[in-house]
Amino acid sequence: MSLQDVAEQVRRNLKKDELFKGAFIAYCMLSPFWYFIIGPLARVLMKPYWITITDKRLYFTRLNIFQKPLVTDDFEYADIINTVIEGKMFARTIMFILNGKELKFSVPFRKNSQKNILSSKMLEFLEGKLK
Amino acid sequence: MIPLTLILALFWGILLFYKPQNISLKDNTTKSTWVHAKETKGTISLGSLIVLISMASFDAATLKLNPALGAIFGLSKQGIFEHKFFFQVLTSNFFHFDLLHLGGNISAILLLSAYERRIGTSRYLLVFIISAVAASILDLLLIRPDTVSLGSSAGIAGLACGYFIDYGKLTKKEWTTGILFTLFIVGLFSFYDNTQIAKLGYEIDWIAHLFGAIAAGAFILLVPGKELCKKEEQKKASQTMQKRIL
Repeated sequence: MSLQDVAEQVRRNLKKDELFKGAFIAYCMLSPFWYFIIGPLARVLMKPYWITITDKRLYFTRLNIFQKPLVTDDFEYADIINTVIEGKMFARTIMFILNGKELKFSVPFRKNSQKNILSSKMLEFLEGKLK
Repeated sequence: MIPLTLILALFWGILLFYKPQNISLKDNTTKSTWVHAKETKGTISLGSLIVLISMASFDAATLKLNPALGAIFGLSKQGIFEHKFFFQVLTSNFFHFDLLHLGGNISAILLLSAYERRIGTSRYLLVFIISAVAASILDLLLIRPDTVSLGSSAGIAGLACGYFIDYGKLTKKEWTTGILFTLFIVGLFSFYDNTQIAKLGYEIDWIAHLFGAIAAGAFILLVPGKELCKKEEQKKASQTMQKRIL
């Protein structure tokens, strides 16, 4: 299953009256403890997520290593308590605090819109919604 | 025997008290230690059995395997073909050479408890036994006549393969990618600084690691496990979330 299939599947299951804004791949970062225990191999254990942005919600789809969707959870922007977005050249670190859980994502980033990758347009929308 | 008791205590402690996150972000239920123990009963019994066997088979002074026991229970061409010790195919997977060997394999079993939590105890143990026995049989064809092969790493390579590829029905491309990925990871551990290990008096049996992973891969291809995407579980999680908000 390709990421395009996942994107289609999530888009088909969006709630009514929701406007699709974009979607991107993100990797949930592990705590430094794991790097201490298994070294660089911890990178392999980073969990991939497909994050879909709509005007009302964020959809988090957990993927396995073959990019098959496992579980999709949706959160309204009001449910997301705190967000921290830090920038680098080709990646962003986005931290969400939702449902009592702290999730830190490493997100590939390109200014110009590309398939499956966070673009500056999507990032601006997210920053506006999550302020 | 104090180091072995410590290894066993550490193994039990980490397994029972380290609680991984639920797969659904909306699922906030915390499992009790008892539920946790039930979910990882395969890992607990496998790890405990291996440490207890080591306690019984290690020399108390040197903390190394008693050579006489190694010759009986370790896999060797002489044992199988001359003495007809066919049980060696299974028993060789539960004996270890020294503390370093045991510690490494127990840590790997600990990490792979994540696979048992996902797939269930019976399949987890089945993958371990199948890959361990298949690797021992295939290893027997290639092993040097004067060598004894010991350790649960073939079964562990099989479990690692399961962790990466056991996601229900896979396409051939996905299966091949998963196997190659597992072999790369297993290869990292098999060929890592072999000269240092040779100084300790033994070598890494990379053939067994390789066959262990391939045997598990073949089993998973022939008997695919269940898909993880359970709609009922998702519904339940979203209901819990709604109740919490209300």
